[in-house]
Amino acid sequence: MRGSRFGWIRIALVILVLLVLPKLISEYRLNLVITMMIYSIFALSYNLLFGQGGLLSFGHAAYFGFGAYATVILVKQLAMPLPLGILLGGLAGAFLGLAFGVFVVRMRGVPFALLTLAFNQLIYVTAEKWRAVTGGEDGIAFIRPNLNLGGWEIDLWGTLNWYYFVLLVTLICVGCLWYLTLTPLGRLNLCMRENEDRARFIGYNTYASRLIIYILSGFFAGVAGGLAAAFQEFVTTTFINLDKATDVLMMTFIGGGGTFFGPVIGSCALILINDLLSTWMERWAIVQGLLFILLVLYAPNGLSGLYRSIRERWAKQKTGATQP
Amino acid sequence: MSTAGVLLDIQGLFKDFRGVEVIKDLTLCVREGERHAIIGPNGAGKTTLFNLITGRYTPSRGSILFKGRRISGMAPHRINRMGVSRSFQITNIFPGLSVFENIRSAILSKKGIRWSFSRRVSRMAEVNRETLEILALIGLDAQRHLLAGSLDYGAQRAMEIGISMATDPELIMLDEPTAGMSIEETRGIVSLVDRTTRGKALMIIEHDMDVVFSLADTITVIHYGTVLASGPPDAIRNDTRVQEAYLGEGKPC
Repeated sequence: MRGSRFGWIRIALVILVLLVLPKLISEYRLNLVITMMIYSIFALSYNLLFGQGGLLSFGHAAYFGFGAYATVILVKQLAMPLPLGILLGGLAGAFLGLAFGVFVVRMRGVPFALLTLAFNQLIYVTAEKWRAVTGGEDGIAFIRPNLNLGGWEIDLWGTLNWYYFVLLVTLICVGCLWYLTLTPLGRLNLCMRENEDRARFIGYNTYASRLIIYILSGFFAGVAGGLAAAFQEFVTTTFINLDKATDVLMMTFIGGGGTFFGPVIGSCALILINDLLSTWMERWAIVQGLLFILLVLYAPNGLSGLYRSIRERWAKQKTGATQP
Repeated sequence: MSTAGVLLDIQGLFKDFRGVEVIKDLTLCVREGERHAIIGPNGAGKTTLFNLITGRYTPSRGSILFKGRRISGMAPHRINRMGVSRSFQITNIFPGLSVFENIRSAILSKKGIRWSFSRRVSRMAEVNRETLEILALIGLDAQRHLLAGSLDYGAQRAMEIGISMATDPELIMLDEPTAGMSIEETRGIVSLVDRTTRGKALMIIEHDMDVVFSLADTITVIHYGTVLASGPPDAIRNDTRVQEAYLGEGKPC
């Protein structure tokens, strides 16, 4: 009980800091935080499969990109309000999750990884070649429309209002994903990671259950994609390419899939590192790669796992010291 | 033969793996409340029979009826929902989850709360109460916060039975519950099985003859994939064919 109350205080503090953040940091930094929030949603959606479901996907950019294209096309061509466009971007991701999930959730391990990769490439090539709809490599540019709340018009073009909009969407998504881990469906995801076979013999339809998880994961990836496109006011094939697919894997891995907030830590860390390094040197990707290798070798549970084991060691040393 | 009280009815069952017949024309009946032991030498097809009944394998020929409904070829989860639950010879639990959660997952499934994402499990008083009841029954309530994978072997075997029992089946099938256990632990498991399966139909694969004779009221001997003999313990003990094939031949273990 005390632990959970402490958790609530921590969460309230983080939200408070995020609310006053625009007063504290520059606009450049604020844009960086917006990116972190968007990729946090993306990484958390990925962790439904990776950390909680025990599945290594190399194709999560497909849902991110599909959601991004859907949002841009709906907002630009059909003049839809942005929140609706982003929601439908999420639903587009969910729909793609259903279409591909029917095939991929039959598998685990290497076949799962390879099939997700293949589907990602399928969507990538489609976006590249179907110029009439996607604009090919040029992509589609658009302008974030204002938000109309029953006659009250909010300008989303400015960084400040846009920051609060992304913050709101992020808090809703993170809240939903966190709540999911406390519900029977979220717990079932862990059961299937631990032992899918056993789950089947106590009455769970693991195929349908994993499909539902896959669809949910596609939904939140689609929302993140829609937000990212609206943020850059632009969508292109880089939203679906392999770099994007491995970025989310790296973020989740670096933060650690074993804890709920690990992927958030990972996406913040990676974005921060990239930003710092890219101002110092041209070949910053090498350093990023080296960091990744070091983490895989020495902290396979990511930063959150590293923190946890350090804390445990500390606690052990403390109790060890009190013993004569 | 009257069908009244018949829970499981297997007729002319065949199963071959790439031409190798593992189950050949097997016919078997389990009545309500019956405590039915399946014995036979290694490789006789006992576990294959369990796999056929619980849906892991599809029979090549023949039929399996449970409560008058054909279950052969059904998916494992559907057979379980009809009231058939099994344990495994090799411990099959959720090692990275707590002991409590292992049992709770089975309770949630039994109650049909499988895909809910609107309610928190910690708030489901009924589910958590029933989970604690099962934990008390298998004697693991003190260890409920530990990871299931960190338990010692005997406790994991008890969990294995606990998970199977928690879905409240009408037919419980235990595949060598005492495999690899000391005499002391075996005694504990026998009393656990006896306590938890009272009033239910029980099918148990077992090599330990003391366990078989203390738990079963019907024994079926399987040899080369088919039924060699079936009947009450005394009749089986005195059956000359059984003695030749199994009981007399070397030590039954």
